[in-house]
Amino acid sequence: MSKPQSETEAKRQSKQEDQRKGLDSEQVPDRAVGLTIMCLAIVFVAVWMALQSPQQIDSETTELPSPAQAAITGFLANVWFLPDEPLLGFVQIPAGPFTMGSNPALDRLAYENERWSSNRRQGTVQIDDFYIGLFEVTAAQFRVFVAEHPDLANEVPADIQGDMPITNITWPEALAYARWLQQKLENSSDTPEELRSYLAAGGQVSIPSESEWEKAARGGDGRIFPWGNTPSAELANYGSSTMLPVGSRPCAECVFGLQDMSGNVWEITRSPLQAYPYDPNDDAENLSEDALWVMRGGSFSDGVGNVRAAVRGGVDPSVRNNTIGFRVVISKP
Amino acid sequence: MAAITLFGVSALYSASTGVPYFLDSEIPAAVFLGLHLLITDPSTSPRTPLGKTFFGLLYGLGVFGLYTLLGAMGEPTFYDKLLVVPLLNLSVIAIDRAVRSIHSTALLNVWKESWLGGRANLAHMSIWIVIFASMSFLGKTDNKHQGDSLPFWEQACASDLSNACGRMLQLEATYCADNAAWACNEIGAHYREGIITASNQELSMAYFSRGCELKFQAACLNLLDTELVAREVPHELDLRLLLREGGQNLMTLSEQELVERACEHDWAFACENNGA
Repeated sequence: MSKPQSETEAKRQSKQEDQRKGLDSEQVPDRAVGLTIMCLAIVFVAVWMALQSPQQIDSETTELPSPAQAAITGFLANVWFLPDEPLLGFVQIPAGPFTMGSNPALDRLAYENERWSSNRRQGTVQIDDFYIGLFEVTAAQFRVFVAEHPDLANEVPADIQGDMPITNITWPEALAYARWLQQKLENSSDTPEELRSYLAAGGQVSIPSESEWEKAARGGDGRIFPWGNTPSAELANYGSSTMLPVGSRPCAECVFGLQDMSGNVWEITRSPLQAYPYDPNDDAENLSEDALWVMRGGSFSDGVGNVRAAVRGGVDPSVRNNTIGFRVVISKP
Repeated sequence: MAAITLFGVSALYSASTGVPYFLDSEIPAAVFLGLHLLITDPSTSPRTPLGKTFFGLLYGLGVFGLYTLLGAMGEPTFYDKLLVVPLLNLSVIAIDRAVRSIHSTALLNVWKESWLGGRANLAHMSIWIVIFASMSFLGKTDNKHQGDSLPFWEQACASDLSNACGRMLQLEATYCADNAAWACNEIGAHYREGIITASNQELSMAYFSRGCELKFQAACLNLLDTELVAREVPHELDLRLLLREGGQNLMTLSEQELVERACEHDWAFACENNGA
């Protein structure tokens, strides 16, 4: 009884299997077409994934030729558009003490955050000698840097005139420019011997600390503006509607002869915004707070109160703004 | 079979190395449900019962392998569970053919549908529900997962467990890309120190820049001084990203709840703060 049944079952299964095999071969008219379609689909997915994948931080930069930039009077196109000056536009600020902060009795426009402490209006700060840029960093100078860092190409406005201060850059980008310039100065035969020696002795190109900036802006006599105690729209670009090319308001009266320390654009510094008394050893305190960096000097759009040498603004390190730029220093930390 | 294999090999890996294989979860619940439809579609899955079993087995192994492969290629690893599907669909005929070429009746009949009393689908669904419920209950789907806990990987890396330092860097890079400033600073610090990975100053500066632009003060200081390695505990916004357990950012949690959650995830500073 059972044998015929198993034979029948086996035949039935075999028939079903044959049918299935036949069906399979009928349903696959051309395997090559199917495989081709699948391969194309996989390639499409791979390309799409590559395009969609989050951008990884890439340290590699491609060396690109410097963009052809028009010559700018007073700047050296073959030396990264630095000023055509004896020290490539760097001005030495001698070592020594200076008065930092504001005395509201002498400066009626002083803000509260310029007060040294609860019982002192101003303080005295001693700093070593250093070099600071005669002008704010220009768009032409920054473009040479960007040409070697294509990842920044979209971040820098292309339509800005070469001798205008560079603006709309973030705090890390300003530092990156300074590091790049240091490498250039260290390795170039165009670097003046004085700067070369200073760099070899440990000098570093950076953005100024706020004490360096303030000393360069007002010297040792505690003046309110770089040129003295009386406001002058002829010596600085403020209270206006437009930014000007660097050095457009020549200021021979300004201490150390620096240009645009007041107005034109705010200049970011490497000092975190903290209450006075100023002490660079405090810079690593308050790490739990959000970063905010001091900016100095005011801009073309500010009133006279914000272009005083002691005024202290604060800027978020990621901010890009058309009133904020920077200048560089070479100092020994 | 797919879920069992995946869970099995993952468990085997964890048991042998001491660290989880997947950084997020074995199978997120949504993917678990989606896969049920994707790999059981009758027109794109094998027809023989044994072929179906192999299909599931290959799927589990394929996901396991693809996860490492995608990670090594720098591609998003969340494609691991999907990319296997078309590859297996391509192999359906070959699987069926291979199964039919087996001449062992015992092996071919190892799985008899008659055992299920003609209710194969009901039985399959029951098994599937039990597996899904078990994995969910064990926290292998969307719950808190050890693999996305940075304190765990820090500890594992310090203990020199298999590939732990690499996975920690991978996880930090992912969180940094998601704008967790703390993670950017940490990974920058690792590349500067050159202890758990090869030193790469340019890469470290790139990560510090990103951390600084996200207002992490320690990262800014690290940018200023190339000899420094400043560190700081995660800020509130970082915690909202770091503790999300693969879900949405925790934007609505109160600060106190965040700290409590951080402590549950073994962040020592949070437990100290919580205790205080």
